[in-house]
Amino acid sequence: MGKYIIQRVLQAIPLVFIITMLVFVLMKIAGDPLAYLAQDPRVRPLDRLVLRAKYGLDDPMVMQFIYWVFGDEGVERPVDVDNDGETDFTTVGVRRGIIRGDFGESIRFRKPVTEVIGQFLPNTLLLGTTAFVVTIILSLVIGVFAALRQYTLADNIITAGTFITYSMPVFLLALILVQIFAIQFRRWGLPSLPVSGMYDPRGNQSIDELVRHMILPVASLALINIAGWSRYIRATMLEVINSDYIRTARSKGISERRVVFLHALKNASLPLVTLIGLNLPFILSGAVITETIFSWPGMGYMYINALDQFDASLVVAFVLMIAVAVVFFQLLTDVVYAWLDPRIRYD
Amino acid sequence: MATATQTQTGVINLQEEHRQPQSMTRIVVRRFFAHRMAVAGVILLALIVLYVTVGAFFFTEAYANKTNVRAKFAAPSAEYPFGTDSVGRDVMARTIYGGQISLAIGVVAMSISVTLGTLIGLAAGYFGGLVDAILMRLVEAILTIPLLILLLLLSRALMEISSATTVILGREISVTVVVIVIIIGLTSWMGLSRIVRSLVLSLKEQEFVVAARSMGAGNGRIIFGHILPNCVAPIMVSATLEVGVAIVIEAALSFLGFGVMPPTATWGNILNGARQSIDDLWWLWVAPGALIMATVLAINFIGDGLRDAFDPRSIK
Repeated sequence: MGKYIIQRVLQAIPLVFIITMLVFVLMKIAGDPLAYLAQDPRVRPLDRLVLRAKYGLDDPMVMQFIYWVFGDEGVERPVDVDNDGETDFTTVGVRRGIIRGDFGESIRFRKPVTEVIGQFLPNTLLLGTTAFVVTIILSLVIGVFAALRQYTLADNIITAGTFITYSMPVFLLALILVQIFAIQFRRWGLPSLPVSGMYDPRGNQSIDELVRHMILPVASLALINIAGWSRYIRATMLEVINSDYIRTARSKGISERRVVFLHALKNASLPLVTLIGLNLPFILSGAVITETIFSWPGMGYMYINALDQFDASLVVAFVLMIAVAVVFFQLLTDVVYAWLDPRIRYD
Repeated sequence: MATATQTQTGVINLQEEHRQPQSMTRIVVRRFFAHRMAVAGVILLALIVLYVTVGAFFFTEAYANKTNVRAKFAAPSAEYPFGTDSVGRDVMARTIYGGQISLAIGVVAMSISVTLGTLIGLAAGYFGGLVDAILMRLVEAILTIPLLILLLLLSRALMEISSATTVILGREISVTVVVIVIIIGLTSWMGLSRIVRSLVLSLKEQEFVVAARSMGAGNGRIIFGHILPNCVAPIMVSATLEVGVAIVIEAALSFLGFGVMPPTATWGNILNGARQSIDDLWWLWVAPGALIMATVLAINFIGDGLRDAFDPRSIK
């Protein structure tokens, strides 16, 4: 087992390196991080020159990558202000590199990006985890129910329902929910649900308010995922339920409930471990579309705004953070799976 | 060789398929059209294509892009069956011309991603070793970044020219259409490349490939003449489903304002109007939303039907 874990970690290292390089290339394609200064009349050309030197934008690409990863403390860069070939002064690098958690500063928030992310992350975790738990519970219920009643009317209705939701883009579902539960309910004089933010700006910041604000975004996120997940659970459940050992268990006279929940579900939940493990890190990325529609101040909302204002260091830190989280959870899932399923060999 | 087919009643019938020798294509076509959902999908998709083509005879594209501030946010009426948007453009005319662009984006992006996915999968599977290791690590690396996050970043990076237009097939179209098609195509080949790779891994060890090689066939001939034809089934299924995925992705990007820019309409950027106002402007999103959903549903049905039709284990 220990050997297997070490082997998987060693496989993950080159992957993280490739991702880091990929993100760096994306950042370079995305353009000049100082472009925003060009529109600012208060910034003199001299300042631009100094900033270019400070961030090492004129260094060779390979060196830029190395400095970005490992930091450039103490690296001196000469600045020639009047273009006469003589060095007027030198800037000294102070970046500590992403490897030591220095992702730079957000242009918009004027704070280290790690702090900015720390500010938005809890909101996304709250929304994402709630939706995730709701998704798992409801898909399990629906999936197992449909599997036990294969090809009955109920199963066919569930199948049709999942097919329709599965084909529905999340923004359409969100718009439909808003139309029904916010706009129409208000018109009919029913208690309508809020559609924007985490709290009512005029109201109090109680748990009650928060829950009310969470209902629609959680419902949008969960409904979309339940469609795919419940199909998956139905399929694995059907596979298990038709296997020999289940027939044996039934023939021994064990109660149906015991067969389904103890014998079948236990084995059917193995693939579910993979599904959960591989999807968990994507909670971090936030739900860009849902958070935008409902103005939920989470990671996805932050990302869209950072892109709009071209807050390069924030964008890059965000993308890299998710990618590394995905690699980590893939590793964790493999290890947990190997530990749960004795059929998997480590070597 | 007699093929045993099992009928619905469970009786094994050794004669049925033996009686009438059929080519693989005919078997697949017959099975496909026996699939009720798949046929429904074909009909639904045909209706949508009919809507966006025949509809174009009733409205000109100039009319679809014409703004009329005095008629903005008009509710559906006899004059504007689907109402008007924030600058008074006819939503119905826009769903027609937008549909053409959305469908075209789906098909072209699919062509790019399927070509890339197939070629990369073939190369990784056939050559193995270092080529395989590099390509598959690249696939893994790209897959760690959520697709929408990656696309938004690429779109933001390449959209500096957002107001420019270009002429394609005699029509003036926003350059953003081209950018979107390319970035969707470039970021959605990974799944297919893995499928093709695993198929090639087993195919290249089989006797017919060994036979071809012993007869002196080169790598190119073996790959494209012998291995590729055996990968057609998963490629066609992926290609079908990818059209739907590309349409939804384009809609999501345009909805967020990072996709196709006006005046060129797509189903996605008509929906963008609905994002800017949470008031009761349901007509801004109901028609394009329903069209997107119907298209994706139809494509998913067709894809499902194709998968079953190609599956040698499926009985019918």
